[in-house]
Amino acid sequence: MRKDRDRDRSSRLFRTYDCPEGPILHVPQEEESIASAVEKAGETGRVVVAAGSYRENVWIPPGAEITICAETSQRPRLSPADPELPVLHVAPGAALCLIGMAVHGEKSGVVFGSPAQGEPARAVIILDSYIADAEYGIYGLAEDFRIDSSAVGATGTACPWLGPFRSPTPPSQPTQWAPC
Amino acid sequence: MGAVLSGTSTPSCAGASYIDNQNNVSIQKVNVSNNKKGGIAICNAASASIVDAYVHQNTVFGVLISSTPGFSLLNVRVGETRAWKGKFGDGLIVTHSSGLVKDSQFSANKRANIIYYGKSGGTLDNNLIIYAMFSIVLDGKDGSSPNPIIKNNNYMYGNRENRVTFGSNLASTPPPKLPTL
Repeated sequence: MRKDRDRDRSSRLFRTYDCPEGPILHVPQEEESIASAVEKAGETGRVVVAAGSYRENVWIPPGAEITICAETSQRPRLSPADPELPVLHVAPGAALCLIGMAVHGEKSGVVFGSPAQGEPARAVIILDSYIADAEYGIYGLAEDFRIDSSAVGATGTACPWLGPFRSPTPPSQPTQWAPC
Repeated sequence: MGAVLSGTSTPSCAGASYIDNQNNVSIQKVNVSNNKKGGIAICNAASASIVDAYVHQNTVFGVLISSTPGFSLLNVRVGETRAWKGKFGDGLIVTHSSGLVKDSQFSANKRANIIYYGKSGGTLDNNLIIYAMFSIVLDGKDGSSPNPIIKNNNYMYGNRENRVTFGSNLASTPPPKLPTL
């Protein structure tokens, strides 16, 4: 009981950012790539990605609020076309919700805001996703940052639904699918 | 590096002053493992919450909280943090921050399970702290003293130093060095 109370108190500390509603664009049916769908979405939109592998670098421009989510519980695999650039780069003032995706970086996975200039992204919400194999998995500045039910690390890093305190190993029960 | 998350300041985790910029960081049900430059670093945020997380086998450090005045770690397991060039390898590093560390487990980290540096505080409540060289280190490097409340329900076992160690002058973990884009 006391533990639950602590968690409630902890969660109340945060103003949670709501992932944006907006027109839906399907990849690869309506748009060939995630990057082009984001561009077409403009200020607000949802990009629904079918299962498969995608090799591209996606830029979320300033002011845009974009949700990128998987169409099914099979996580689409997103890796960089240019390995020196982030797979997903959220500009200062922009917001990204990433749901049910597998991001395989090389140098960096998800980068947000401008660390060099000290300019934050509006929000970065990562749910039910993997960020794997990047030298820098996730980094940047954001006004709101939330990551839930996800894994960050090398390939093979499990995404466990964590068990009770002090269980010797994390159970391997799969995470619940959260559609967009 | 698994994740470096920061408020509106440049994410230098070497920052030494509190700021209040209303930035929130929330990490819940996340596995951050096998990263070569550290697990999770949170710097210059107004508040941070890490709940139900598993942070294992990262190099240099597991979790680093810097210049974040209100943080909480609840039911977090930080273990087997590896050394880097024969040095460091700490589970939780708290520097110039204050918060609650509760119901968590720190095990088999290479150097210290938990280190508080500088003007840091908060509460350690009901944690399992086992199998490292140091259990809990309080190190006032810059002349100020970390003063977390360490409740007597924290359980230390199998560490080489099975006690709270004061002023051991352990070398500070280098702040995360980020790539330029």
